[in-house]
Amino acid sequence: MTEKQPMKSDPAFTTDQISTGYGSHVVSHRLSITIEHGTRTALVGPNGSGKSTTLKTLARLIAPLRGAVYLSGQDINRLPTRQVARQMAILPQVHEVPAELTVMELVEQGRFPHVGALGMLRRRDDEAIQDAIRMTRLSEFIHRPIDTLSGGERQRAWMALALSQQTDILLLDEPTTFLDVGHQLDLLELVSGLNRDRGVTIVMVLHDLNHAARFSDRMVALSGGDVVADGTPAEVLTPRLLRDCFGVDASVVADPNTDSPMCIPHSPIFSGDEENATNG
Amino acid sequence: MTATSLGTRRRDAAANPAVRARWILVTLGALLLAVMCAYVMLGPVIFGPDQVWKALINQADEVFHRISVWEVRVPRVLIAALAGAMLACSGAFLQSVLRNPLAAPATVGVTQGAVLGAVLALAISYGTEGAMDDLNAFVPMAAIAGGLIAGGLVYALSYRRAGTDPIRMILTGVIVAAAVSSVTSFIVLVSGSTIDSIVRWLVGSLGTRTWDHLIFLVPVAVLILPLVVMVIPLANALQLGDATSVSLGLRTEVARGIILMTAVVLAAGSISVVGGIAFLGLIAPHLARTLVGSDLRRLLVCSALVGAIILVSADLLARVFSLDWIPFWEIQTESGSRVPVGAFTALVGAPFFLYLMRERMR
Repeated sequence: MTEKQPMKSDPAFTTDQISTGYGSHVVSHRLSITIEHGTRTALVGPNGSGKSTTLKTLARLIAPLRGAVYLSGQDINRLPTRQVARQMAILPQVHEVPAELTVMELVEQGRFPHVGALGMLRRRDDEAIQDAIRMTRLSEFIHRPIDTLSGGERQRAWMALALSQQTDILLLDEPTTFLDVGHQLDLLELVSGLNRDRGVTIVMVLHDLNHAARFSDRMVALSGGDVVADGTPAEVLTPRLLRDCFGVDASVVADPNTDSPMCIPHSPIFSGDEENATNG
Repeated sequence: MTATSLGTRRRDAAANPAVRARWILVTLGALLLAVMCAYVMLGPVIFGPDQVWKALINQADEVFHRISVWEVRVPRVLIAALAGAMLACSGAFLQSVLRNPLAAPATVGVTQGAVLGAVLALAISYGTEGAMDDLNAFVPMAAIAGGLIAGGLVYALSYRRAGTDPIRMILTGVIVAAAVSSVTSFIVLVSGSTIDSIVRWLVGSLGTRTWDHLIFLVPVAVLILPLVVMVIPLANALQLGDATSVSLGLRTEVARGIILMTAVVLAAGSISVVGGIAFLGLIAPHLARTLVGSDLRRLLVCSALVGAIILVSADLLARVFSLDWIPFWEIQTESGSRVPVGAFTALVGAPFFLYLMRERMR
């Protein structure tokens, strides 16, 4: 192996005053964010707050307009993309499913960054694939075409693809959006288990604030492309944030089982100013 | 091991597309061999296997056996198989990478470009000393150049700052295809007299194809084969969408460019020898997908076999229908083959494709 081992002391991600956006549409100016190895970070914020854009920039799906994203101390857009893929996997928000592709055929693709030019799978690859299928409990579905699976099973199949990549970092863009509450919890438990048992660094965009509070160590709230709150769920999830950032009147109580903060939204507060901020 | 676990295992093996695909591919291979044998044996004169063999080893009972088998049918069947396989592979790549079931050499303008190249070469040389007919290597070369230029044009026109986008590419392809076709029509109208050979390029024909054409086609196939093998893993990753393929460590824009180039060379090479065969590049990958699924390791081999089988069978039928046993069937051109195979695939292809789409879009 010639590739440079990442320094353990370097954070998983640092961004140096990056501007992000699409072409001429700038979403964030001078965003600086650091994410330590082995942590679970939830990016939250209202629609259009730049949370997905930030995640995509960390994931190198879009390049920052200015500044750079450092993955374990190295500029992610200058590293060979295959090398990055061995350190970091992404679960995108929307997926393209080729007709008739089976779960097994999908999960096998997770080995792409690890295999040679001809894509031949070796024993180590088979083990990684089997492990990913076991963790996502897909054993009975491996030969089923993905488009015949239910929404929950389908998301587990994409999760298995990311897992078979065997990376230290996993980025998830609204992974629970199209799932019912049972499958949402199931997926978030799986993600937390990865962090707990294997030390995988998790960065995820979540819409559900209570899930974010319960399944992360750190919440970063964005609004209009800026970080407006950053800290433990208890520090971030406050009535004040809900009012200023999301424009809702809400109370925050402790979850009776897990003790994590839980918000109960009551009613939206609309002012012209607020609306402009959230649509930006 | 208990009986049930054995039973489960057997069922698993049957359900495993990799295992099933192996049997399907072997069967298709045998089928291809069978239609190719039938092709060499059938015709205006029907030869038995022993006569074919004697002709092949140059000990035929009569001279015309040797000519008929070795000079006419064998090169023609080899061209049909190879060109059909290449066209189908091109379609399989295009459908996977552009993530669109309608993608095919003819919908991204490559077919039209190659046909224009051939027609242009034929029209320019018409009436000059030693006017080019199809036998000249200049025509296939012009065709391949035309296909490459059209493919490159579609890629360039659909390119934006952020790269290419499959949908934009298909739309651009359809427009370029239409524009190029109208240029071809114009040239056909203006040039007038070379209609017969030009029409055969427009609809696609294997008439008068000989070893000269095969010798042109084989190097193209041999040169592109390593690239085909190399881009299969890339195409497999890319068909999962741009975001996922970036996650997997693919340089999506580079990969898409290389795969499209491979598809364009495959199609242009094939069309440069047999002309614009309709529907084959669209239908063969669809059929293959219903047989072995979407994993390109299997889909591509299967598409190649299906494409070869279709073109060999279609040309066999075209030849049979050109025989004299149908009394009112009097389509005769200066060359031997009366019904061009492309007319046949178009006639059968359109309704069959409709049926296929209806079945798959249930």
